[in-house]
Amino acid sequence: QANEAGIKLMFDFLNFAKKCKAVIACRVSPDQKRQVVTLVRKHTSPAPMTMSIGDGANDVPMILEAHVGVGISGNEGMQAVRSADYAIAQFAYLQPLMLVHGRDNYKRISVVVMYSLYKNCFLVTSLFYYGVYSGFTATALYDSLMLAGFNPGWSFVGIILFGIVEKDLSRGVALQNPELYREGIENRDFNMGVLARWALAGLLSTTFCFFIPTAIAVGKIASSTGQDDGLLPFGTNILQALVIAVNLRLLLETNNVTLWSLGSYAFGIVLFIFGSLLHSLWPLSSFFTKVPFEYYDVAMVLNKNGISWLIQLLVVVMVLIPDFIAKYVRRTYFPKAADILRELDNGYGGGTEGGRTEGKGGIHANEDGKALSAL
Amino acid sequence: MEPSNRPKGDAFRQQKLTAWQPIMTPLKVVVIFFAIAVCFIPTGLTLLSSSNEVYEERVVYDGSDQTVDCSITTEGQGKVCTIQFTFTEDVDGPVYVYYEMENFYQNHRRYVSSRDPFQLEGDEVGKSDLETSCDSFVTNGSLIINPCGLIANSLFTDVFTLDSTNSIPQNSTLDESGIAWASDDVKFKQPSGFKSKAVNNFGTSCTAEGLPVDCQQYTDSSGQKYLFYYPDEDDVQYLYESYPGLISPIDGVTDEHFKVWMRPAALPTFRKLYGKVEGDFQANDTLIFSVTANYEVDSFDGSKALLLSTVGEFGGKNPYLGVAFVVVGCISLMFALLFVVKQMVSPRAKADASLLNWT
Repeated sequence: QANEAGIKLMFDFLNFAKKCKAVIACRVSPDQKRQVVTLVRKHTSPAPMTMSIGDGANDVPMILEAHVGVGISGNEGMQAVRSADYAIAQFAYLQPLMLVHGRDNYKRISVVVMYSLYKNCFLVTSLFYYGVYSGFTATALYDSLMLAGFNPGWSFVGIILFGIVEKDLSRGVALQNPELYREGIENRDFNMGVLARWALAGLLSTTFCFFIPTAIAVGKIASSTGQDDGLLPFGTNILQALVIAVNLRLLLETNNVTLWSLGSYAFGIVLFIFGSLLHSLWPLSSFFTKVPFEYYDVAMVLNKNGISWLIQLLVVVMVLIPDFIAKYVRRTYFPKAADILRELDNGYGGGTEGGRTEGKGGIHANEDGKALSAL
Repeated sequence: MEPSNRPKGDAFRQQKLTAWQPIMTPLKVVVIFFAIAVCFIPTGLTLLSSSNEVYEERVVYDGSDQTVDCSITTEGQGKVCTIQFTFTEDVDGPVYVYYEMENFYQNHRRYVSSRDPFQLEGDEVGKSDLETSCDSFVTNGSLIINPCGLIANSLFTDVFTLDSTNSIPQNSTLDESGIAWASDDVKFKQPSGFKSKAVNNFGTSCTAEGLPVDCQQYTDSSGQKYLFYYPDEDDVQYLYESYPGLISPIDGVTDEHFKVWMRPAALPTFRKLYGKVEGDFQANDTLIFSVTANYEVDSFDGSKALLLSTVGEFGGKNPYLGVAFVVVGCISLMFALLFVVKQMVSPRAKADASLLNWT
């Protein structure tokens, strides 16, 4: 039962514990274990992320109380595992769980969220820009089906695969350099600054992607047949460039390029082109459109026109160049620890004892185990 | 045998996929930018030179910046004027003839969707369905308008004819065919029940020519006589009735100028193909067009122009595409040089462990 003296003791204990690097509490009951977690979680500022690891039934309240609960399965039964968020087989596995998988997944999810925002900002702003030329009557620049397919189709597989497979440092390096874990603790990959950067990138990309084809098309004939092709080919041209740019942008973001990555980025692009061609066939051109059969033959006419391919090439390069330069400058002249370790990991820079010397950026398998001494 | 809980060991599930970790070294980046410059600058210059070879002449005949006064203030005014194009250089044909409009928003949201594709295809569509799809211009009094909608009933009504006798080279003709998409044939068909027959004289009776008894007569501009029949004439106002003299009853919605108009333009300044003049032209050749202005644009500050243009492999006269390529190529080149200089002046050694900062 908490009373005044008891509460004061609690806070004295907390203030004292905060000054220590580690605190060992023994002979504590399960409820007291839970109270320790609550104390740290609720009365520390800034509010920390708490994790509890336990292997027995007496650890269950503590596991439930913390933000992240890890249960060890084994000798003391499955109680801890059943109440935990993560289950591992040995205490020692905690290290790779946090330093390798925890870190990887933090990086992955940060990019997945930011990229999803970026690509939609890109798409929607282009629709908004068209308002300037359509008297702000909200005419859609793109056909309904091609537009609706953007998130579940043309730009879907790439980012999902990225979120599963992306790995910026090999297992060995991550384990050897636990200081890297601070990136997550300090929210370096997922904060307002990062958000602003991606959002601005989206705005810049869309400015190129929309205004370049428009400038080329205003009052001019951009078709080798001499005809003015109208709204749908114009919009599809822009959307095709957008889809290609958005998928290749992910390639820029990927730190480990696998065949799966290349395949999934290409898939989005191929799916779009294939989808637009299918939609342009007579029976399918009434599918999911406001005006049936309006999309008939559009993709064929567009793709036969060499100028549209040139415009797409131009736009994609223009969209990717600023991001490419920004990444290059940041990584080369303002490198973070992870950047330098990645270079070491790939065999750049000699003179590392016990380090890997294989593959200067060549294809190699990410193996666990191989320790890399970086300092 | 106990089922095993051991996770599958394949590379994908164990995150052990063979991967290539791209490291942006200055060399690689510089090479990439140089490659872009090397690809883009010549491409841009080729596009520019192709665009420069295109011959284009534009005459605004109704608008604030008109050079020929053919402006009208009432719809259907029928003012006739002449526009003469004199070639300033030798030009290899065909020369395409366009009309260009400014400040006309064919891309207005309600305009673009105001049409009934089934009616245009020739099907009979009920009035309530037409009201949903077209929203405007569905009926005219007690008549149903076929085709309904804003696009069909705002057809461009100016007529351009080429004065063959006075143009040089003589006997140049304006070919008004092949201006719409080939695939439009499927979308635009005469109403089902429509019948027509070319005849030598109007002496024959409708039934003798296989038409219903109340068929009508029509003679086109070349003197060819036709008998034709539209179903439900008493209840429906067909396109040839909405635009007498402009749309022949034989063509109806399959008229190419109509099909071109029915494809809404993407931007408020647009050109639409009217026809082409075959043949090659020499400097000082002239093409004389007679314009009958019926389409009133003054009330919304629009303008109309007649345009001649040849078409190269990369479209009409369009320097922006070439310029954009050259500009991007030059920007790439600039960055390539910038990075070379920076790398020579103050490089950052790769994988320099002393740079690791653990803050």
